[in-house]
Amino acid sequence: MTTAAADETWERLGAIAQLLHRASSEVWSAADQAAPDSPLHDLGLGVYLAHSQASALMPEDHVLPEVDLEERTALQLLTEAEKLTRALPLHRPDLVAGSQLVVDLCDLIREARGLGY
Amino acid sequence: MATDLRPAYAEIDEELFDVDQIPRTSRDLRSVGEMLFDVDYLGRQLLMDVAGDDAGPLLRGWPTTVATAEDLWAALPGRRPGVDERDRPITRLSAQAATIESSLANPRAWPGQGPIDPRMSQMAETLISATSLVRRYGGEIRHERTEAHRDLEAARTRIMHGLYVTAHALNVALHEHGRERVKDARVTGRRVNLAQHHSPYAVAPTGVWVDRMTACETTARSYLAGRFIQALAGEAFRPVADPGRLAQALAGWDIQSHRALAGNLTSANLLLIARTQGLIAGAGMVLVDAAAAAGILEPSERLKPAIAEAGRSWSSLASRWGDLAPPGARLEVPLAGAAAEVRAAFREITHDTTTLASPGMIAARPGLKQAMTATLGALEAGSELAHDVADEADAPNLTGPARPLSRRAQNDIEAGLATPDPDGDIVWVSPADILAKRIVPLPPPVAEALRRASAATIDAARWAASVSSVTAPNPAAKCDPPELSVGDPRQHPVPGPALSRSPRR
Repeated sequence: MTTAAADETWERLGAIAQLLHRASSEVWSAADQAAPDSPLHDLGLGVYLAHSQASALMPEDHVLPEVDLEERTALQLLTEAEKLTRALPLHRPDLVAGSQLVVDLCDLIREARGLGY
Repeated sequence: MATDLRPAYAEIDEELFDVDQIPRTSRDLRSVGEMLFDVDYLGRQLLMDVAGDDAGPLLRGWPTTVATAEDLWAALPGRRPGVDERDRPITRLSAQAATIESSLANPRAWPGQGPIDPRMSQMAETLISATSLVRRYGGEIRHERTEAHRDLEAARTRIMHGLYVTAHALNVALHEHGRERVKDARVTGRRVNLAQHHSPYAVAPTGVWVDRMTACETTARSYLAGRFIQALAGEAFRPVADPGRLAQALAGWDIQSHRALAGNLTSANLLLIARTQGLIAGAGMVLVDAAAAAGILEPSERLKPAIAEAGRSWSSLASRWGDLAPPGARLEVPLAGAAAEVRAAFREITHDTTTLASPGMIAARPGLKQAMTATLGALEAGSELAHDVADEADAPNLTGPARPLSRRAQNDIEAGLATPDPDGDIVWVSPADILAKRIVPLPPPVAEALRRASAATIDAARWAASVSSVTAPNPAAKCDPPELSVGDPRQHPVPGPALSRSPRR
């Protein structure tokens, strides 16, 4: 793998992590305004766990890229993260967990839509 | 063969304007890589938008999709002679799909004869097109070259990834179908047989299909995770029948959270612990309502308010730890796995599709009494965990991103949650640190409010624990729901290994 390709992959994963971190904050913020038994708590936890999956795929010392996160709903952030996963080289041995991340993101998008996002 | 299946350009006007469809013309100019990308895209769209009504049509299309994927796999250059470990997953998937096709031929059994989901057909057609291209031009590829070898490996991964996503979508659809049947049965007062595995919604006729599709999903996933050999050896999966999933999940969470707290935990992990405890409390409230409806719990004026207060306190504490956890922070893998399992196990019993089920519906599910007992135990254990988490708030070296800490410090002062500086309104985090997005030490107001929130969580968790400890499910209550009978699992043989992780439903 070339350095450029590696950089592009890490940048992509870094952007995904940024988007998912913000999405989890957005969902939890709404959940904290709702009742303790709101399903939003569950969705927020799912998004945060997906964020940790994306983070675990990157080198530990990788500096996250700047990403425009303003004025987007949690669903838009999730959808954007999913789009960024489409070009990930999932065949690489260090990205074997990438398929699981894709499936989890699609599940979360379906759940977010079901909760009215 | 592939071009025969495609409509003429004039026939697909509607599809051209449908954003969910990939326009297909009689002259397909896509490369093999682009076609595999499209299969992946279609699988994702399916998973994001799948419903219970799709289960039958998707199931009917699954064998053909796998067969076309296997054809493409076989057509890829560089296949080694003899039995190759690399090919075993697709061979196994193909065998699994063949038995599914054979069962589908029974017109009297669900899903019976009927249409195939057009999205599944589109995937199969795309795979056929890709196979045609590979057969035509594959001979020109010098597969022994490194770049070509890597491209071929990427193609295999894409094929398997598409099948994995699609199998997962089919599993979600099957569970949705089961839920809808249970709902219908409740409305009409009709009895339905429930399968005793995977999910309380696995209605007996679809329970077998869930097992089969889970086996397919497992096979594809294990290839992608690079552990197909372990999967074959049966090391990666736990037994199918797992009626105590929630109890196991909560026990696992208790162990992993204590282990993690014994080490040097980061803010990201403390955030995870607090949020998971909040989830346990919230789900506990849902179960209390359902258990009361089912006569499993005696009505209590104290229990639900105590659990609700614990939930609010854990969430409030979590939002504070959230300020300290930067994007990209890593989690302890066993801790994250345990939290994910708690979430999945609760969802199985508390959720109806993507939102909460009604107490009456949860009351009709098997395993509620066991789930209630396990949850009360977890709430009892939450008191001790709150003390351990509170100790972390006393750590002298806590840091976090400058901007959220600055905002939090100002808010805490204004809300009277922290002591103001004697010199008046001061800047707690320098603008230069905020601008440069630096990680800074905790400003004193934030540290003080964090300790107060931790103390409040201890109080709330202690209250919930004390009420939970004197609450026990009614021993005389039935374990099974009154109006739904539980099917005899011996009637539903399990054809393959089960996922250690059920699809999110």
